[in-house]
Amino acid sequence: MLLDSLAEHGQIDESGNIVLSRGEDGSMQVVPVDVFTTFFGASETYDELIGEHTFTWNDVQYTKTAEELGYKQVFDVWKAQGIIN
Amino acid sequence: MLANGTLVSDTNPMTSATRYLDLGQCITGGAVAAGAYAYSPVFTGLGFVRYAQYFIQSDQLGRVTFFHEVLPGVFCWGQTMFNMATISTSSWQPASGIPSNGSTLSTVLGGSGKFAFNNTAATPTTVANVVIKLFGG
Repeated sequence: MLLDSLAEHGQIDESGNIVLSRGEDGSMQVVPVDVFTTFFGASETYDELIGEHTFTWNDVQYTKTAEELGYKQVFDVWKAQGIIN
Repeated sequence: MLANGTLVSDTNPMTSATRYLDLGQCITGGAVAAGAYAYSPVFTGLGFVRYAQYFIQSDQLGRVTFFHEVLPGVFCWGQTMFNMATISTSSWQPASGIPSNGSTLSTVLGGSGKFAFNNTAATPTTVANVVIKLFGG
């Protein structure tokens, strides 16, 4: 499970959100799990995550890649850290 | 009692407040992924605040929400304190819908807290600057 792997690597914050990045000054970027699931469904692997995803967001249907959603750099880091395969 | 920002002036000409505090670029600039929240560092000793003003600079149209979170994890001022339908490119935007009820703000900002920028658009938003000024009395 992706969420289990993220938790094992400290990428889930105290509110249960997925941590996308952390700054040295304490700033951070997170995404709620339900939002992440809306975009990426049950995708588990790097190839699945960076591919095209069709989802409904604010009553509008979109088909976008991870890069178009601003997540590819995050997935690149996760892959390098062994969080995803 | 002041937060760990910068005291810019003893007098705010926009209100009767006697000081205002500029928290600076409290949310790091850069791309915020679709649906994501960009949190500022934690600020302490926010003290009595009776008015707030937000300025942002973004590279594209989008819908964003600002809110203040009093630790731990309790959101105040509502999650739609500032909710613009669009953001103009390359221009400073004073926030609309800023609460002006001093009693509410003074209660909310009595302690530590952080601010967040929520990109509710389905595309990443590049935020060049987010400056929050808190006006005290």
